[in-house]
Amino acid sequence: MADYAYLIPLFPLAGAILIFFFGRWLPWKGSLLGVAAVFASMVMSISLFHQYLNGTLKVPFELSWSWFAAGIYPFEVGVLLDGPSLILLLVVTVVSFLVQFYSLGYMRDSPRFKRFFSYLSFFTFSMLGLVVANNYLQFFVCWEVVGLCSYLLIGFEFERDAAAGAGNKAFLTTKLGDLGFYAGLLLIFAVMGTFNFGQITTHLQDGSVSPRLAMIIGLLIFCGTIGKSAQFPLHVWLPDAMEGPTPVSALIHAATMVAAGVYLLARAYPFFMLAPEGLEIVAWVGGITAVFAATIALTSDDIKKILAYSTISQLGYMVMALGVSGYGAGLFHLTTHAAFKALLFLAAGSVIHAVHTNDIWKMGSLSKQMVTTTITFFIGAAALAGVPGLAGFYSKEMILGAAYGTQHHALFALGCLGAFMTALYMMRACSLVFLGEPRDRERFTHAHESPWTMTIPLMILAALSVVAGKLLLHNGLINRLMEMPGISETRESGIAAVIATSSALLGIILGYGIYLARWIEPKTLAAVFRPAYVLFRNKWFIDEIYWALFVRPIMRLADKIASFDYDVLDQIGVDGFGAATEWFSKLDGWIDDTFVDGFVDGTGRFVSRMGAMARTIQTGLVQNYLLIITAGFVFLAIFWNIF
Amino acid sequence: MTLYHILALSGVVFSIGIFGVLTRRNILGILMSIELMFNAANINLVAFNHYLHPGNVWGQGFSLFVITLAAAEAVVGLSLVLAIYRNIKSVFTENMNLLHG
Repeated sequence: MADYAYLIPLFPLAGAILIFFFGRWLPWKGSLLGVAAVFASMVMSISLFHQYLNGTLKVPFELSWSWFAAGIYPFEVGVLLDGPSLILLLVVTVVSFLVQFYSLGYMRDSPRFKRFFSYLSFFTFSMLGLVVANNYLQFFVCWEVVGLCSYLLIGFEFERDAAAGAGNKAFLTTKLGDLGFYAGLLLIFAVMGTFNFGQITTHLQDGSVSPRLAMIIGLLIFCGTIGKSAQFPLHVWLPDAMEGPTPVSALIHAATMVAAGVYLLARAYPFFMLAPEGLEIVAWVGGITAVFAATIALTSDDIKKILAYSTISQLGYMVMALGVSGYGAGLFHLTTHAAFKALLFLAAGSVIHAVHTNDIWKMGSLSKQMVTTTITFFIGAAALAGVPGLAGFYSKEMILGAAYGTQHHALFALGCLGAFMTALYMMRACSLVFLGEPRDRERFTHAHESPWTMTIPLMILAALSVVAGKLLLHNGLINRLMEMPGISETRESGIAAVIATSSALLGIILGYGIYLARWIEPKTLAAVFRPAYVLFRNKWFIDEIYWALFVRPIMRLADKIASFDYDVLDQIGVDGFGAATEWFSKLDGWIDDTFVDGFVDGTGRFVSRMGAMARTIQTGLVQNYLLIITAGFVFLAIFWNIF
Repeated sequence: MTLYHILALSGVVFSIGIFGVLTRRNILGILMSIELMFNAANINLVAFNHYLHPGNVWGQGFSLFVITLAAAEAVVGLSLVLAIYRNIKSVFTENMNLLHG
C-alpha cells in the first residue's frame, strides 16, 4: 500500500488535467471526476494512517526516484511518509474532498464551473506533492505551484478589479517571502550538496555545519513561512485573498495552503535544533502575529475578513508553538485548526450564499432561518475560541503550555491575550450574524438553508472539530506522530491551562455582554477606546504604510522610468533614429538616382551613341568592304615587307 | 622573257581586276573583273609550271579546272544578277545596300 503512496498526489493531477481538457463534454462539467479523484486520495491517506496506527507501516517510509542529474548531483522526486506528512495528508485530502463536495452546490451558478474544479484539483495535487515531498526541491516546486493555484483562485472572479488586484497582491507578497526561502535552498545546496530531508538531518547532526550557518538557513527558510503563512509583516495578502470564492478561502487560505508554511517550518526544524536562538525570533514573530491579527478581527465588519484575520492569528499561534519548541503542539493546532476553520469558512459561505452580503451588520438572527449552518458555525466558533472539550481547546492549551513550560512568560501572556480576543471576536460574529434581532428585514426573509451538498460537509467538519482533539491526544498519538529527537514531550501545565481557559471564557462572557445582553453599546465602547478602535479598524494602517513606503515609491519610480522610456528613449532614441534613417535614406535615394542610375544610364547612352557611330561604317555596299579589305591587305603587304 | 616578266604581267592583270571590282558600279562589270583575276591566277599557274617544273603539266591541268569553275561561277553569278535585277530593277551596286547599318 505504502509503495503506491505516490498515487495520492497523482489522482488529483489526473483529475485536474481531465477536467481542464475534457470537462466540457463530461456530465456535471467533470466536477464529479475531481471529487472522485480526491476521494481516492483520501481513502489512500486514511488507509495509510490506519496502517500506521496498527503498526504495519513503519515510519519514516521513503520512496525515491531520480528526476534528473545536473553534473554529479542527482535530483530526486520522492515520497516521505512520517508523522507530519501522514497527518497533513489526512488534513489536506479530507478538507479538500469536503470543500470540493461543498463547491458542487456553492459554485453551481458560476460561469467558470469547470475551470474552478480543475484549479481545485490542481491545487490539491500540488499541496499533496508538497506534503509528501522527501526533498526541498520538490517541496519548493510544489510550493510555488500552490502559490500559482492560490493566485488563480483568488482572482477567479477576475471581472472585479478587487479580485484581480488581490490575486496580484497575494502572489507578489508571498513571492517576497519565497525569495528568502529560495536563498535558503541555495545555501543548503551550496553547503551540503543535497536537498534530501534525511541526508540534511544527518549532515546537521554530524556537526559539519556551524550553528550560525544553520540559523541563517533556518531563518531564510522561515521567510517562506512568513510569506505563505501570512505572518507579520507579510500578512497583508491574506485578508485580501478573501476576494476569492468562499470554498477557496476555506480550502486554501484557511485550512491547507497557509498551513504549508508551518509545515515547512516543521520540516526545517533540524536547522533550528542546532540554533535555538533562531527559534526565539520565530516565536516572537508568531506571538506578535497572533495578537496583532486578533485585534483587527475585533473590529472588522466583513464576516470573511474576521475569519481571515482569525486565520492569521491562529497561524501565529502555530508558528509561536514551533518557536517555543512545541513541535507537536504546532502541528497539532494546524490539524485541529484546519478542521474548524474550514468549517467556519464553509458555514460563512453558506450564510453569504443565503443573504448575499459579507457585512455582519446586515445579518442577524439568522439562526431562525438556517439551523444546520448556525449549529455547525457555533461548533466551529467554540472550537476556535477554545471551549473545553472541543478540538481547538486541546491544541491551544498545548501551545500555551509549551510557552509556559519553556519559560516564555511574555509569549504566554501574549497567547492568553490572543485567546481572550479570539473568544471575543468569535462571540461577536456569532451574536451579530445568528442571534439578536434581524437588522435587514428583506435579506432576513429571503435567507434560507443551503442545499444538502453544502450542509453535509458542514456536519462532517463539525463532527471533526469536536472529536479531532480528543482522537489525536488518545494514547499520546500526537506526540508519537511528532517525534523529534532532542525535544522533550510537551508537559501539561495546570496553571497555564487554567489561565488560558479562563481568558477564553472571559472573552466569551464579554462578547455576550456587549453584543447580546447589551450591557454597554458597542458604539460607546468604540468611543471610549477611540485611538485603539481607529487603529484596529484601519488594520494598524499597515496597508497604508506599505503603500506609502513601498508601493507608491515603486510606482513613482515606474512612472519616472516610463516617462524616461517615452520621452527620452522613444522620442529621442527611437523616433530620432527613425527620422535620421528617413533622412539618410532620402539622401541615399538621391545618390542612387543621380549617380548610380546616372552611371547605368550613361553606360547605356554611351554604348548606344558609339553604336550609332559604328553603324555608319556598315554601309551595306560590298565594294566598300572589299575596298577596306584590299587596303588592309596592301597595308599589311607593305608593312610586312618593311619588317 | 623570264618568269619575272610573266609574273609582272599576271600582277598587272590581277590589279586591273581588283581595280575593276572596287570601282565598277555595274555588277556585270564586277563579274568581268573577277574573270580577269581568275585569269591572272591561271597565268601564274602556267608560268610557274613552265619555268620551275618543265617536265610535267600540272599547272596547265589545274588552270583548266579553274577555267571550268569560272564558267560555273559565271553561271551562278549571272543568275544571281538576274534575280537581283528582278527585285530592285537595277544592276548598280550602290542600290544593293539592304544590309546597311
